Amino acid sequence: MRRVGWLLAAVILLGVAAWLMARGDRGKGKTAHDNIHFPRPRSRDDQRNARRRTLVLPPSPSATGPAVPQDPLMVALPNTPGGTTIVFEASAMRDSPIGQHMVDCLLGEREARELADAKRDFGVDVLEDVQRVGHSGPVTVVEGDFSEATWGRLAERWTPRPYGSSATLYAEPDRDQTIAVYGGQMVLFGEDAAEIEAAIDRLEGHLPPAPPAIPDWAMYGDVYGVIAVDTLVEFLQKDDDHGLADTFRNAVEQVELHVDTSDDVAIVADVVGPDKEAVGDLGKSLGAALSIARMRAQADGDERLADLLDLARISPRDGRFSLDLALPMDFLRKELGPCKRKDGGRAR
Amino acid sequence: MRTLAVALDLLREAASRRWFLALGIGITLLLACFGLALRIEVVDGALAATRLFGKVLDTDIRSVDVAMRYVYRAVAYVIAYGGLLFGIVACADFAPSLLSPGRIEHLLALPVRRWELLAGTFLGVLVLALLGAVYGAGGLTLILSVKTGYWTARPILAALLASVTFAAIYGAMLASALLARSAAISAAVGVALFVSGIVAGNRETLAPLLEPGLRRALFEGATLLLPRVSTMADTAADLAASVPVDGLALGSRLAGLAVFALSALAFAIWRFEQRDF
Repeated sequence: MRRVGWLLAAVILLGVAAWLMARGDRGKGKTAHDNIHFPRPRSRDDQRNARRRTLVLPPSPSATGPAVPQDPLMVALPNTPGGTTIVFEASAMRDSPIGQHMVDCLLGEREARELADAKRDFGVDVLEDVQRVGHSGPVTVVEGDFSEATWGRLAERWTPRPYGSSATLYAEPDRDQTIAVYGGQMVLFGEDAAEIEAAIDRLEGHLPPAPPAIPDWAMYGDVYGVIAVDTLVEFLQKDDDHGLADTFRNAVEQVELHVDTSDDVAIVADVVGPDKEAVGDLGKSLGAALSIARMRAQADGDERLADLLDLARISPRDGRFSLDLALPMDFLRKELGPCKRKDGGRAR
Repeated sequence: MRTLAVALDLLREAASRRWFLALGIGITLLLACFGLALRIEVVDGALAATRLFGKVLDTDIRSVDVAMRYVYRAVAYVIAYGGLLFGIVACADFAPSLLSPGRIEHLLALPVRRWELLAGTFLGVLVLALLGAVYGAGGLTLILSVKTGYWTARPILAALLASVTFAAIYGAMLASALLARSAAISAAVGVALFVSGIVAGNRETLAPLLEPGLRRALFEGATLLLPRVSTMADTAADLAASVPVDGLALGSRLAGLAVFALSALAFAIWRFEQRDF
């Protein structure tokens, strides 16, 4: 009987072990950081960019080869050396968690009404019809499907005039604001009518296209572009204990920005400068500053900031460095605050 | 008490085996070599550069404790998988040698019950595995902590978790030695359980790949009983890397492994009680 007792105990214990281990299986899951995908060049971005090169401009007299199709948005955006040029992939962002949160929660009743007015007055559903928004210096370009749009209501308040073969310019009488509707796919805004006209001239081939402000290989992520060094220096100067702003101004030539919003918001900033050593030193200083900020946040008991800085890193390579930053959705939800709309956007 | 005496006897036997001493010296030499070859540059709490044998490793600049999480994660996986495999091979011979003709008769003649003899052997092997894991993990942690100035005991915690997994596997090895007195078979059972434990740890991912029906039910049923080796390795790595771990689930897994080990031990005792020597 005693001998059978050991066997019985073995069987019962095996059953208990299986139950306990199965209970432990439930605790397996994604960690908080599994949803962070830092933007990197991917073949699907290349394919997307290739599909968008639909604008065939007449070749210039000096050109020898056939005309190369170009991306109309990049042709329209002026290339201002040292300036900021940024593109938002509105259609991709709309379906992202942060996009959904912004649409559902951050648009108040007033903003929702304005969107409904735009739909009624112009036949433009801003949330559905807009594909990309680009901004460079004095010009902002909205690209999308505006084939169903009716601009009659705009002409009632603004002064219209045709420009080129496919554009209509609307000027606001009291302010220096110009809106241009180009075909059924583009709306251009700006304070300087001459810049808007120049953009249309480039689109119609009346002006030679400048090299794109964002090269093809840098067009990846849901937000991408180049940021003016002065803008970043201004930002850094706000809380600069390490003299980083001056070092940044002297060492950096260009900062390329990429943002992925497919899950959590992940940001990569590629920093380039003429002096590789100076850029390397800046990377080390920035890494140390992030580390100190994190330690300070831990010491101050600011766990959210410390967690955020956990995900920050500097990756130096070939005389440049990239700064990776991540903003988890949980963090953003808390930071952005509760829903402005009582229905949480469900009525949309 | 007599169980402890048997365990101590086993530890004395292990110490007298030269290759266990060689193992201790080997681990010490490896740690010393690693410690001398590793150069870490820390600037204001940020890991700025790492060189191993003069070669630059990871060039990312980030807080030293954040950067070290990846190192400790890797260390935890090495301890969990490498340590388990080594333990299986190194300890496969203990139970068969206990049962070897001449020795077993001598042991059974002593005033020790059969279950105490087996439990003592089991306990002795576990202590041995624990000492090896803690020595290796502790030494590595000490070197990295001195080099970086960031002190943590988490990799040692990871080594302790790996030891619990080893307890489950060694329980089955001990039981197999009672069925067939062979170090090779004992090691083979350990390796088989190690591999199937990796599969069992991923059972929830793998099961949907099978067509619903008998095959999937058989897979789910079989893997339900196996220790989750890969899950424990992942948990050890998470702990070492300061990733939050679900305490309740971890407690369940640890208790499950311990009970599995006791189940295997009970089976081994049942078999031992039945046998005539």
